[in-house]
Amino acid sequence: MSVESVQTALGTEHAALWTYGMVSAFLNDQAVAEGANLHRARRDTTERWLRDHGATPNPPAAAYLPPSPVSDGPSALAALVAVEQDTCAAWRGVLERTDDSSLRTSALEALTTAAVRATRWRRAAGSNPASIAMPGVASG
Amino acid sequence: MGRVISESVSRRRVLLAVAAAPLAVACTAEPPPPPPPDPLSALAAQARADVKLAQALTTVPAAAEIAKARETHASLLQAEVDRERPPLSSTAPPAPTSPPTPPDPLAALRTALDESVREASAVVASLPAYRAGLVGSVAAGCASLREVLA
Repeated sequence: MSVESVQTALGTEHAALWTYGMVSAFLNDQAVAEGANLHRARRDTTERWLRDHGATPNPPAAAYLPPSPVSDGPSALAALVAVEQDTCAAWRGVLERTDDSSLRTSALEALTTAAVRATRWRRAAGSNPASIAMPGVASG
Repeated sequence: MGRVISESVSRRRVLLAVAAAPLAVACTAEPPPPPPPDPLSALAAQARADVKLAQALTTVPAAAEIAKARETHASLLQAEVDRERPPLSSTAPPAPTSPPTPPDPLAALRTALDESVREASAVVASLPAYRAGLVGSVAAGCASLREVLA
């Protein structure tokens, strides 16, 4: 059901916001602040959508566990890539579970912008390829 | 015995009916209108055209990964088109006719990828949900490719 998938997407937005805050200790980059702002805005609109549909938005966790420990610039970039790719997967999941065209539009926008940020961070990390052929797909 | 006769009669009738059916159809029924083209078919063709464009750009390092990614898009989209409407024969989709090399191939690829993001995004809203995820990922993938060509 779409409410459940939107809750999952909200969960990844909470995790992304937390991760952007955490990595700011290791990355002195304007794009970190920008990414945090965009995830904050997305979190707010997602919470509003859930309330408008009679659901209680899930609260954020106290902390999130990045796939590998973050202790320097490269590991901070890896955490950002991971959290953006999780965000892509969650919003793709929303696309697959709703016929509501305005929700589709915002899910597509969230998927696309997360894919672009993931690409930027992969590029900054020197990953090859930096691009992601199918964002939101596990193997993509 | 009676059973055998009636069976053979019915077999004859069936044969007759089968032989006459195309005639009857041809005489009475209007041919069904061809189904509207699958929107994913156009997206697959666009992906194949982007592959050609990227393959021509041998001097740009990112072009190879773009060609590979658009090839992935083309085959995923074409597979979905063929799954929903299996092709009548084994006719492969027409290979895109190589357009004349544009004066500025890099700019042309940028424009083509922008166009691909736009086209795929525009289609997402009208698709059944199970296809929206696929095309959404293609749109986001093109935006990602555009980023490495920036």
